[in-house]
Amino acid sequence: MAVTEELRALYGVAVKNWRIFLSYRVWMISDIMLGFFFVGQALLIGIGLTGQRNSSALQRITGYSDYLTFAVLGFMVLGFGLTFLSGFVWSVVDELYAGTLEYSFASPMRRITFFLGNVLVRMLLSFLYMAVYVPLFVLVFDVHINPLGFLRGLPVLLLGTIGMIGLGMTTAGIVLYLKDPGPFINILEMLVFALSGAMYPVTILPKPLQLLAKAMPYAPTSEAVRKVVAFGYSNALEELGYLLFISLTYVIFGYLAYRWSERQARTVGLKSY
Amino acid sequence: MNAIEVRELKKSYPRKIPLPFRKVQWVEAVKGISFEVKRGELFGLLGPNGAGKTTTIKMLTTLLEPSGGTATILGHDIRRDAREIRKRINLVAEGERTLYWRLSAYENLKYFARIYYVPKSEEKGRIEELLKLVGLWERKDDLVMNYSRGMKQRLATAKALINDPEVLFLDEPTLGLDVQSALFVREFIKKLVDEQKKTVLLTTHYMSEAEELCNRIAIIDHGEIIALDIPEGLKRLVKGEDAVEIKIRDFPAVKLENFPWKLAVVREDTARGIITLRGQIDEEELPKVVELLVKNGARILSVEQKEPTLEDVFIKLTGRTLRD
Amino acid sequence: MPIIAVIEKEFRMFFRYPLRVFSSILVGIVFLLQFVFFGQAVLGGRYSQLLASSTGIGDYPTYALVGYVLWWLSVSPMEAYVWGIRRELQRDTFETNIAAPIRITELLLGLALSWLIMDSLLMIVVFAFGAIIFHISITLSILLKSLPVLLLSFLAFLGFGFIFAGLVMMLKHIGPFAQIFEFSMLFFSGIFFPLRVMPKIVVKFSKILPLTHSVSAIRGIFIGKSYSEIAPSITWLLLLVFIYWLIGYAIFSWAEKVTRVMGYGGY
Repeated sequence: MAVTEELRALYGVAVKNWRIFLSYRVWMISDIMLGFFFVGQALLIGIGLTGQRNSSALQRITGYSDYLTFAVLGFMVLGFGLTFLSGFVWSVVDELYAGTLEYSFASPMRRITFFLGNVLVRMLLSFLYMAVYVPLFVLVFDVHINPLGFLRGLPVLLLGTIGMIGLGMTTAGIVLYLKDPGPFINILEMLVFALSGAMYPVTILPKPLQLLAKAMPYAPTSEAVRKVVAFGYSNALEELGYLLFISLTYVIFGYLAYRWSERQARTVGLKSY
Repeated sequence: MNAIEVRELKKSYPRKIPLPFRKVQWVEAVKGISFEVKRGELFGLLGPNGAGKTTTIKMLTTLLEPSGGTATILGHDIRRDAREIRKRINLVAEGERTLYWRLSAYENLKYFARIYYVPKSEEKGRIEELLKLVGLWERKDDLVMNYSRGMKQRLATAKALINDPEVLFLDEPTLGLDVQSALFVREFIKKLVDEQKKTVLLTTHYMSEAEELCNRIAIIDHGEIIALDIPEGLKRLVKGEDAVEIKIRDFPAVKLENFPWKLAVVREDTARGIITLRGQIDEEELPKVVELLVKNGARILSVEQKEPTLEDVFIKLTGRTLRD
Repeated sequence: MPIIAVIEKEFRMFFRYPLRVFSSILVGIVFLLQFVFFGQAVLGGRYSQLLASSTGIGDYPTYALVGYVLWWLSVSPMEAYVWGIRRELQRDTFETNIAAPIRITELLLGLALSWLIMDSLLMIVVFAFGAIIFHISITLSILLKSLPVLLLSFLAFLGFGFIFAGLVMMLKHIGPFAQIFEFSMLFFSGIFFPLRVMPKIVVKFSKILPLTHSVSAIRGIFIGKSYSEIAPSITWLLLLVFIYWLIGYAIFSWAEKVTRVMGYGGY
């Protein structure tokens, strides 16, 4: 059966990715530490500058007075964003450098299966990381997370994730045919970092950067998640509508890029390093 | 004075990093070898992969601390006078990534000229001369990453001559090269010894290469030198005995272990299930060999007499072929 | 001088790819903006009375920019060893270098020095960028006065980083640990927040990091303090230069001995 064959292939790709990931155990520790640095930094900056756990200035711009919760939610969206952008793209590019990508692509499996297998494992990992982070943040930093509000935010995060995967696939499809993908991905990562709205509301950015931030799926996800967590769905309809629009757009982009790269592979072939 | 003198040189590798208070197992790679190389000689270390050739070269080029024994290069002790030795020798290491791919050929040589203390007044002339010598002058400004494997090896050879070394170490200089590049490198090595009077120690697992190039050859296996002589002398070990090649089908090579003769698999055609055995078998023994093979299920396709080569020496001494 | 050759080689390889240079600068800028913008969003402005009372500088962008640029430079020699040597190991060029008669210490120092110079060039751009968008006023006299302290700091950073040279050579891959360590320095030396918010023990510990003193000296210069007023930091720096070069060299010598038994190459 074609469907079961494809599913078996998907499973194979996922297991391979999982194994490769496990072989970088030490990096996992360093990844998790990174979350602590990030959130810890936010807490200490806040306390060092204001001496308090709440900021009326932040409340005026965003509705959040608890800057730490604000940063934690932002960091989670950013974590998802980086997983589906750099984690995803790097893993494909690494295979390209190692020369194994061509073998995968030469197999009869559909290429989309290869990408989806990769996405699946990253999704699982992101949730695992989150499961580690949330209780630890609550314990260590005394972050106030209302479980109900938090659960309310999850579907929004998933909606945003669709757009992030779309952007990741677009990028992966394109960078495979660049002469030197490394710095290009770095630059994109930094744009995501700066424009994700993780640490600050994007409204404090200059206008052109604000527009760019709005055009990528990260900041809209952060905003919608924060709004829903604090004020519920009915008060966040505008943000949700926009997020839906952005996510769908990137899914279409991702699909088109995938088709393009499929054709490109046949005409110019993959680069060898 | 000999260019290289090696006495009972030993090397064991720790299985893990030998940190203080950590019990570590050690693996013996070189088990006490001795030989000397005269000035102007082209000396070969011939042996299969993992025999200890590269380890020996690394110890002699002061890259690796020996576990026992002594060695001197141009009269200098490899443990005490590492820097003095490094100034007067050079090496071509195994593998193709020993130079900077993101620099051009010219930039690579300029860099190595400086860290090898080549006087500034000679730097330019030396680089130009070397690049012309190895036929890369026309492409001196191309990045090395755009070179073919053969060109990279030629550049590595040029780098190895940058300090006009008295002794040159070449680790598998033709490994993985196409036929033409390998030919170029071999001719080049010959010229270095004949015209520039360099002393060369090379390792190889190609017996034809050793036979063609070397004045003397040491056969090394499992970290020990099992024979050392001029090529003719080594071949005399198998002279008078005939080399026989037997082509058979349907015979698992593992069964050879129980045979009373030293026979080795020299070729394998797995697709058709055919293997070719080779060994020193005299006329009276030959029918017995064939009989035992047949008894073990082999189908004999052909039996041929051959001129003995260095390969036969190795088979006679170890019961295996060099490529095993 | 062979050390010049090492520097020249590193420069060629880095500046040959303008896109890489650009992406490095961007990384530097974005990382800075994250925290400064966050601080400003929380503060609702740029001046913190609390910061002023605990450190002498009330202007948050100035405080963060000086600290951040110095932090980046302080980890530069470490990065040179952790990533520079690793790259050479992966590309098999490390052994080719070791086989040359150049002293191995000279080789490694050349590597760290070239990264430090390259990072300084990047940081000049980042600093200028930060100064412009955050409207930080800088005078020539502040820059000139900072220079000697900066050079002294570089000496300390090089010695501190040298500890890692031996470790990388011996252990080959310590990337993740180094990264954790580098980020810890952001906390221990009070880069984006005043050290006073940290527990007492951390504040004490931070004294053994050269970055802590280097940052406090240069921040002092930025608010117009004289050399005699920042003398304690300078004394600490002088002491640490001496200590770290000693420790770094001792660890390196031991690690080199072990590495010569294991082999330099191999990945």
